[in-house]
Amino acid sequence: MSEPIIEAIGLQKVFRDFWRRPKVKAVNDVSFTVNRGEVFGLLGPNGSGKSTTLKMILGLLYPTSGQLRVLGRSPRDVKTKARIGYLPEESYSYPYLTSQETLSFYGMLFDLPAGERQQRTEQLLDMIGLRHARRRQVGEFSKGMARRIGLAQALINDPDLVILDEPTSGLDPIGCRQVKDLIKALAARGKTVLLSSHLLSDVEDVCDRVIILYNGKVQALGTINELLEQKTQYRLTMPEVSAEGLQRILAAVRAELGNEPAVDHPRRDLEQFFLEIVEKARQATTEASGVGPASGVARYLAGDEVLQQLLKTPESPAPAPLSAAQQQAADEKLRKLVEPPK
Amino acid sequence: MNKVFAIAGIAIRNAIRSRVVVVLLALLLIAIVALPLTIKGDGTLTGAVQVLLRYTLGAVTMILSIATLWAGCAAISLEVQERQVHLLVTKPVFRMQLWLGKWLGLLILNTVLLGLAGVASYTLLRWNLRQDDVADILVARRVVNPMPLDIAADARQIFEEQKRRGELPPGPPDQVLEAIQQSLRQQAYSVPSGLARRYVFPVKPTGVPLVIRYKFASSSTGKEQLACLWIAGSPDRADRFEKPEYAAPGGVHTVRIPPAMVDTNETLTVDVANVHPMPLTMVFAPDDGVQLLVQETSFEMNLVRCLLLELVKLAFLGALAVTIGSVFSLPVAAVTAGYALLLMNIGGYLQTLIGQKMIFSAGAQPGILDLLVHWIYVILYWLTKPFQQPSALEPLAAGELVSWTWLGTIFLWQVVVAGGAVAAIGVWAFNRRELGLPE
Amino acid sequence: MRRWLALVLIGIAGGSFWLAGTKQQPLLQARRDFHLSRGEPLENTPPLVAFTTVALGGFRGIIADLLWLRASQLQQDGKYFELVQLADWITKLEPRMVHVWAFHGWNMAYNVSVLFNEPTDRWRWVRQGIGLLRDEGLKYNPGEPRLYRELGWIYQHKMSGNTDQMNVYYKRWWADEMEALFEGPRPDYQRLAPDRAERMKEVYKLDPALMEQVEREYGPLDWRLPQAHAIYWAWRALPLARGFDKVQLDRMIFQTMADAAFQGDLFSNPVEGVFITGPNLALISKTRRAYEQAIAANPGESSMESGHRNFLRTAVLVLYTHHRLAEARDVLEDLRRRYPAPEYNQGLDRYVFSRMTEFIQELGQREALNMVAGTLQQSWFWLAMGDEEQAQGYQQLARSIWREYMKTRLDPEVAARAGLPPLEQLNQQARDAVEKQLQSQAAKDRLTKPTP
Ligand SMILES: Nc1ncnc2c1ncn2[C@@H]1O[C@H](COP(=O)(O)OP(=O)(O)OP(=O)(O)O)[C@@H](O)[C@H]1O
Ligand SMILES: [Mg+2]
Repeated sequence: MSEPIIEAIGLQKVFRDFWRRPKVKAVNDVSFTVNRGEVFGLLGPNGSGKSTTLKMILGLLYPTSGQLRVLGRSPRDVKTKARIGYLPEESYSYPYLTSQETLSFYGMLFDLPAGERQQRTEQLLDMIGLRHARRRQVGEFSKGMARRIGLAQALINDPDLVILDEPTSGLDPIGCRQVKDLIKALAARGKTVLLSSHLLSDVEDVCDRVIILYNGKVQALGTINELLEQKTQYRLTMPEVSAEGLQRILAAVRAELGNEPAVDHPRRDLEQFFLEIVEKARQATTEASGVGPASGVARYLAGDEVLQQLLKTPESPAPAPLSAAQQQAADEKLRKLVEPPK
Repeated sequence: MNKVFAIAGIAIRNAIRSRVVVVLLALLLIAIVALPLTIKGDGTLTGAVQVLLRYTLGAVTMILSIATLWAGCAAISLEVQERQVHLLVTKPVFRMQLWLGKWLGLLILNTVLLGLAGVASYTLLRWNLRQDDVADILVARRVVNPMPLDIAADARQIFEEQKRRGELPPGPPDQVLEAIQQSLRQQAYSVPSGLARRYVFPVKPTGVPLVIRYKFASSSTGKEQLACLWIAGSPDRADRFEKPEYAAPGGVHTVRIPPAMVDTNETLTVDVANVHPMPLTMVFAPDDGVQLLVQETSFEMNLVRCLLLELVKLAFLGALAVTIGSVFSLPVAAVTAGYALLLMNIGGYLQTLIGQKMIFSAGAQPGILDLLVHWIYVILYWLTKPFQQPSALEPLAAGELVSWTWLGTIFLWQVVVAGGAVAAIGVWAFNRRELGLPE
Repeated sequence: MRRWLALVLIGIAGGSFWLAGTKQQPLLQARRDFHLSRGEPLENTPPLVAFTTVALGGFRGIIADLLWLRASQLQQDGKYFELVQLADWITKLEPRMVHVWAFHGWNMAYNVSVLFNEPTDRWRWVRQGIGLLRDEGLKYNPGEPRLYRELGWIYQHKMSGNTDQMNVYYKRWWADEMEALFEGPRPDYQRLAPDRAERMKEVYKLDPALMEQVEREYGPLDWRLPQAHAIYWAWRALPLARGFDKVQLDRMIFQTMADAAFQGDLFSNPVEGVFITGPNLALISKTRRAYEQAIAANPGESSMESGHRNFLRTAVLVLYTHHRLAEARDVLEDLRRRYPAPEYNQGLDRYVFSRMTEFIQELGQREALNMVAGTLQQSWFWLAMGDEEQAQGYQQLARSIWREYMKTRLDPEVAARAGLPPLEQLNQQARDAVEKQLQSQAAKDRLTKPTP
């Protein structure tokens, strides 16, 4: 678990102008380690150095100082690239190639045998919902469609390390959700994911650990729970109860805390609501010009059958039913909580 | 290698889908079809054929050269600019493979286009000539130079003779010897009236007619023709071939010689006698004064070799352009490459400039500036000299052989040596480049 | 590193600016000198030429230079095929540079043509030179006397003169072509078929109306001979020319006139393959007038005067041998008045005789024999051609030469050693020689007449 995939020590990047004078210190003394199987998030406002850090990890930019090792080698080592998948900030694909040709081309760069390449291409196209557009040239694609192609090409080699620069930017909520599911699926298979984003909810949903950059400097580093948990407060969620039941519960709480707890109805979040609406609409229409029905995660990426099953219906808004044991544990906890004072 | 082909493949696909290829084909077709309609020959059929070949194929290679330069410069620099290269170098692709892929794509396109253009111009040529007898025009003859004169031995003999008699002029012996050789050479190439001079050509008996091509200057300043007699065949034969000629000095003339005159020892002896009644001397140029032309292969094979040779040059140009494009951004690269092409093509002009000291105004003492400019030209000339190969179109049009040896040498030089060096520089520079930086 | 590079580059740029600045003035001067700054658009320009001249701007000079270098290189190497095309491009790149046209026309007609052994090849190049000047150069520069002069010079010197060994071929082929065009020595101006007039104008740029004017002024001219064309082109440039150009054109006209006066009458008999030029006596008086006018207009041009004197001296002899005694006497009178010398003070007969005998007395035996025999053959030849007058003239001349030569060799011993055979014997031989060369029976029949 603690095998380091990326190690950065005192990383620094200074952009210079034509006269070699330092212009911008985009990354300033950044150190962190990403371990195998982790989903690691780079957070920060615009211009804080996220993309610069990622580009250094990819060997696109050379660090001004500091040490950087990726998969145990220099980031400029060509061979390790076989194990890396990269989704850039924007889509940089060849406008005259069709989506299928694009994926196939990148497959060739990994020396994938023809059969394998074709199979993966098909599956990826299914996954990103662009099967119907596989003979269309990428140049005509909308931003989100192009991003999806970008995502697909990043995964064609079934990489061990996936680097995603703002993976959800330009994507519709379904795409966002799918990407998040994908990231989880990859992580579940022991892959390492490094992503940057300024959409905090995304990061919160998927990341194990995050680093927060501001002005090129590390501001905070840790697991999501470490960073976000407010250890001094509790929140209680429960199914519909009768008025008397609620009264009794509240009385008990009041008696315990000595003051009034806040009570309201839980709301569905907008993401979930949107997903439901689109799902309904999709069932009503048959033809799509944009993104077609996407199918979860490409089979080869999902790995074993069980996991596949688990991730089968990511667009279904209902949470997965809890197992009996989990149910019991939850009940137990709740019971403890609402138990009236002795 | 697959990766190289994959990269070449998308380069070609891009060229086709962005209609570059169609536009090029159209341009080539216009050149091939329209040029012959507008070009003036010298009024002879041979001239018409030569000009047609020279100009249509010249236009074709020029169009392709410019297109190659542009496309080559754009190949990598545009990808850097559009950042598509980010997705290439984050894959397990060596930059050399990327370079090779781009170059190979260009080469394949060039091969196809040049091939099509060659077929089209050949077809058009044959169609234009469908009613003419072209047996003597569409030829491919090897140019055979006479065996070198053995001047050294004679000079040595004269030297010894003079030494023995104590008549040796003052000066270091090797310079005296050199002077003797010089004057012997001079004598050997000039034929005063009433005298003859013998040339011996190494040639295998082939049965095809042989042609002597000669050119001389007259010791008279006038332009009057001189009477000379050409005699071919070994001197002990009774049936030596004789042909009197009344030839104009300065012009290039030919004499046909029956193939039977070739000797059993695989030589052809040719005597030229100056039989002019006036005391005028014929002076043959030492390098191309008298040459033998031997039909060697078909015109078609010559055309193929000529096109291959042009392809080799395009391959080098492609390498140069891809390298420049992998170092500079497109506008800079295009200007640089264009300049390089220009320099390579005005080598002759530079040579004339420096050789005849045309920069200096006649008579005046050259100033510092004149000298400076002169030396800049000299440096430019020497820098570009290795890349100045004579065009294969000239001999093709003139009906001279474009030999495999020549093709091989040019290939070795332009593709293997020069192309390799350019590629190495390109890959080295490209490797050092931080591609994440914007242009 | 990059900073230094940039500094160096800036330095070079600055230096170049300064350098360009120093060259600015001389360049402007050169532009003025070579008439490069003329702004007005070219007339008659095909769109392609107009486009290239405008689009290429100053670069066209460089391109023309490069093409020119290539042309001279090819010419040196004996590769002439491209020359026509290159000359075409070069001149069209600089359509206003008269000396460029002049050079290339002259180069093809003079320099390239003589590199060939075959008369057909040479003639082709002479025609290329004519074509470039006449069909292209004058189209773009209709107001440039220099180009007319260059064109006229090819007719006057290259074709009409005899410096080129092949000049006879040029004359013949040109005559054949003109004969086909005019069906005679000159077009029938009154009844000119429209298509013929069209062809004259379009192909040969000969305007029948202008030809008629030339004819009135200098004629009658035989337009099958190049002289008439030299005069025509020089005459056309006269109104455009001033100063030196004008003098040159005047000179071209009277020199060619003089040439035509002695060699401007073409006798051609295609069946016998005969092509002979003889004197055009009608031109002598007009030539005299042309000389006189030119001398009056350019006082002190000594070369004109010596040309005039030579013309008059020859004219006396030619007129005399053609029995135009009155005119011959008049010319001699003119000589005496203008260029006084004792030899002109004797009478006409004595003057002519002295010039002839002087010449004949000095001949060797062989030469004298050749001369008599040749003159007799001429006589029989003209008889066969049906020109009895000429035949008689030559018979007379031969007799005179024979007698004059034998006069100093009357001693029988000397006559046997250095004398000539009897005239009758020579006459018989000459008759047989001529008869052998004849083709048609009609001509042979004429020889059966008694000795003229
Ligand atoms: N090639 C470059 N030359 C100069 N400065 C650069 C260059 N690339 C990035 N920078 C600067 O470096 C800083 C960090 O940029 P970076 O792209 O890493 O930000 P980011 O965190 O990815 O921002 P965003 O959220 O907008 O994508 C910015 O100030 C940016 O202007
Ligand atoms: Mg960014």
